[in-house]
Amino acid sequence: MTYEATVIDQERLTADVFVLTLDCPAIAKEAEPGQFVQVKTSNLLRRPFAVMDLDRAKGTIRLGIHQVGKGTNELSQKRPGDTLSLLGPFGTGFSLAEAKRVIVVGGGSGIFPLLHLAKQAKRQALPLTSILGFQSRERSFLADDFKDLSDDLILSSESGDMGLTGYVTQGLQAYLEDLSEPTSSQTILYSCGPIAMLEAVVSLAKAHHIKSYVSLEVRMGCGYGVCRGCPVDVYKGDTIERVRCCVEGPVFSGETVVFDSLRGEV
Amino acid sequence: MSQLNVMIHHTTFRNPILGASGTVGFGRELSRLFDVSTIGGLVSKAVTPQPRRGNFAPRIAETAQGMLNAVGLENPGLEQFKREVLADFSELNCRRIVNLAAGSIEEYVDLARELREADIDGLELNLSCPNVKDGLSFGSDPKQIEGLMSRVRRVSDKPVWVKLTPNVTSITDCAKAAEAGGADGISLINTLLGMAIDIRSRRPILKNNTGGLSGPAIKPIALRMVHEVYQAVSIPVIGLGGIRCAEDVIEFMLAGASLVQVGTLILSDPATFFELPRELDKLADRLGVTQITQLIGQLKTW
Ligand SMILES: Cc1cc2nc3c(=O)[nH]c(=O)nc-3n(C[C@H](O)[C@H](O)[C@H](O)COP(=O)(O)OP(=O)(O)OC[C@H]3O[C@@H](n4cnc5c(N)ncnc54)[C@H](O)[C@@H]3O)c2cc1C
Ligand SMILES: Cc1cc2nc3c(=O)[nH]c(=O)nc-3n(C[C@H](O)[C@H](O)[C@H](O)COP(=O)(O)O)c2cc1C
Ligand code: FES
Repeated sequence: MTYEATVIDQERLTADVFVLTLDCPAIAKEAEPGQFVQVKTSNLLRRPFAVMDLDRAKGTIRLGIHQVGKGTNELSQKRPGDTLSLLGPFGTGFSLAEAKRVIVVGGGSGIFPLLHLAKQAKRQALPLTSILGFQSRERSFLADDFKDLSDDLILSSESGDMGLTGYVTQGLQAYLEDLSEPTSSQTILYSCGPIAMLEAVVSLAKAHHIKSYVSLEVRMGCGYGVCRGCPVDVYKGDTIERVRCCVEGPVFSGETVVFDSLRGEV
Repeated sequence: MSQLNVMIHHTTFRNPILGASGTVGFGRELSRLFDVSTIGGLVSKAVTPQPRRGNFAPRIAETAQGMLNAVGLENPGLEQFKREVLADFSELNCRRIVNLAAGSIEEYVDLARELREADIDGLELNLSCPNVKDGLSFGSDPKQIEGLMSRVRRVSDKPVWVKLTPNVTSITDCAKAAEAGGADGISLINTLLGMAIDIRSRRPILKNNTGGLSGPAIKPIALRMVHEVYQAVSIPVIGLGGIRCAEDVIEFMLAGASLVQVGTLILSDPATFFELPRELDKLADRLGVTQITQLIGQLKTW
């Protein structure tokens, strides 16, 4: 589970978002949509990133990275030929098993894991609607990739210069209101983004009787289950159970997540 | 090839390197991914009398050369531990120590009594977790430490290590009290109480506000305390705090540790932890050390 990956390509998408393509056949072979890898930087703890995309034949994976601090800034300096130590793939990812139609809803860096899922949905010939939110056109990324994969693409920006004006949840709400009843029962919504966004997405999905899965980004210690550093509270029947984001998650059934337990996370 | 095995209280450890409590779970995840027969032993996550849910997220904050944790002793509690965890833990092919934490002397005694028949190699009494609100105050009061240890001694024949907190005025008084109470070993150090702040939200990063500092940042403090305690007691010292490489292991042994534990390193680099015994072997060879035990307490102070 410890691998040395070689950087093959570094592509800048916006001022603070870039994509690393890594040669790492073992992870490319195994990783499911929604799973993540733990990347070593010069910091003490590794940094978790979703496997955004992979090519099994070539043995490569791609990581989409939003620069928010020391570790992600350091990774932005990596160039072809540099090596990185990875652990993984870890976590319980997205499952498309029950889906007849797929909606993905992503905000900011939450969009990365959804690309892998969208490609999987496409391979399985599932109808796909992608609803993505950005701060502005200048800060948007991957919209073209999703456009190629999706039957429907709804973009929104907080600045209003791209797609709908406002948060991604407004695009989602409008879309759900137009969905007809028979379609909604076979539709599954998958989402990743800031906690507050996910909470709103889940409540919209619930209101429209659509099953949802969300991928949570809780700060992690180990990423593989030994430290209990990543608690998430989930409803199990009438009781609340505390589980590990890194093993039982990061993807959870939206209705089961007790969002109140995550108030300190971003 | 140097001899890495260490014998203390009639138990032989194949090498002096153990995984520390809270960073190896109950051995399940690590034993699936690695061969635990390469290491000296594993110390379990703390087991408490009742199940504990622990603190809310965030529980982890990185700091300069260290990390804070405020897990809050999340564990399944004694009953479920015995029913669902102990059998697998006992089967691990290395020395198996169960870390215990409780809120009163009676509870510690009950825990030790309940594990009297368990197939394990020893108990480690965690007198020191900084992350629980309902007051584990024993850790800083030598009288209580001695009283607690002597009561536990009466109900258990298992080797018992007392794990001390560095958050005290005199670590040697605490260690002597544990020895007087009949402890078989002293583990130190647990984490140091600390805080990390997010300037934007103006809040502590940890939901618990404070947490325990571990990692390389605490190593110099740990070495100093191991050195002091080694001189103050005649029972074995188990040293830990910030160990990342074979050199660190030797430093702790020179300061007086018979065994060492590795914590935070395992979170980021589990493979490095499992390679440590081999690295220690190589380093001992280079230093001309034929038996690792020859190093214990050999520090020459100025
Ligand atoms: C399962 C999982 C998957 C993730 N996938 C991606 C991804 O595909 N792309 C991506 O860009 N980011 C992803 N993240 C978030 C990413 O791990 C953090 O942004 C990164 O660790 C920050 O490191 P840093 O050293 O740059 O920031 P630091 O300097 O450590 O901190 C800067 C800020 O980043 C935030 N942060 C720090 N650690 C985490 C963390 N573990 N989780 C969330 N926020 C954190 C905090 O708000 C902090 O204030 C994921 C997180 C998780 C848990
Ligand atoms: C996430 C985490 C959880 C811990 N939980 C426990 C615990 O349950 N019981 C205990 O005695 N020590 C616990 N500790 C303390 C470690 O066992 C060790 O004393 C400390 O981390 C110093 O060693 P290190 O610097 O090698 O990590 C924990 C440490 C960490 C990082
Ligand atoms: S991050 Fe260590 S258990 Fe999840």
